[in-house]
Amino acid sequence: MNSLKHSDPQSTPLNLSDDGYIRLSKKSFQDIPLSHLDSGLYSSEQKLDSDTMSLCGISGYTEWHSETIPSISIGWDWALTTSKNPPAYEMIDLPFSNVHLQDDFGVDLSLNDNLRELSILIKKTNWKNDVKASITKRYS
Amino acid sequence: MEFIAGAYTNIPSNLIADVFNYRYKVFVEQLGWELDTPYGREVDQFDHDDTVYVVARDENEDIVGCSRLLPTTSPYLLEEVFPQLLNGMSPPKSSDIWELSRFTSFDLNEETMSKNGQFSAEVTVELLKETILCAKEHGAKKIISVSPIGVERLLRKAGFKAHRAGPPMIIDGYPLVACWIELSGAF
Repeated sequence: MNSLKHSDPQSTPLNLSDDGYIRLSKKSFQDIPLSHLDSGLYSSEQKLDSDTMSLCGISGYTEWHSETIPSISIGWDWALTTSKNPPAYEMIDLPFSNVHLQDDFGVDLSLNDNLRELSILIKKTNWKNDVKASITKRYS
Repeated sequence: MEFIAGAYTNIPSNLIADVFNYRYKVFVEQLGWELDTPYGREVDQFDHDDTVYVVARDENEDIVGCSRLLPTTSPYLLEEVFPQLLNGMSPPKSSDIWELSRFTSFDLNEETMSKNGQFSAEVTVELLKETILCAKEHGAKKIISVSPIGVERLLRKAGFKAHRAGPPMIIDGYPLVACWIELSGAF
């Protein structure tokens, strides 16, 4: 199973709030390994040539989760930028998650700031390699 | 485009029959969902007297979208079939929490399926708004939806406050996720 981090799980207990969110500091979020759950293309008509990566307009989704109870879930859309050499997977827009990050005082970030921070944290990881491998395996 | 909303007992029986037939064509024939349902009719145990439907029809009165709303005070899909989507939370039982499921705006008159699968751009946002308004009119303050991840994208695009309840399940190769939709401040 592919993970975004290889550190041991943080011992911070995870609690599910009444509104369904898991509230965490940024550091706690970063310390919890996330495993790749699923990735897919948005159009079943598109086929990925793993040698040339020559198709255009390829986009899809990717889903990650933690092995904790309750589980952290985060997913986002991506697009394959074929104008670059080699083609690159890029995150599109903000992610979707059941995590709500808090500041150093334990106060919730605003909804948009939460998603932006999660996006920043995700972009620091090696998610692209796992998505590429998953898409290649699934659609080749 | 017209929208018709009402409970199972208040909607004309021929329209309900059309909805079940439309759902069969979309979910079973087009999307390939493996549902235990009679041929030509997509119906399950959650289609009952308490169920509320929102139906979108075009100028020819062909159905181009539908959704299903259930009060969580009655048995509902998430509680009975997919409780794991709640990530350990007990399924809610409240008159101000309703469940949204079987949401689609697939236009069967289009020659090819769009890349958005069960959603056509034109109808989708309007159907979603009508559905949420309907739920609100029935007393809902929150909605929990059980849907493919496309509905998350749709909710964000339409400007609703929503977040997922937990990790999706992969059903028939596609992620299915539960989303909380906050109705305070909506409309």
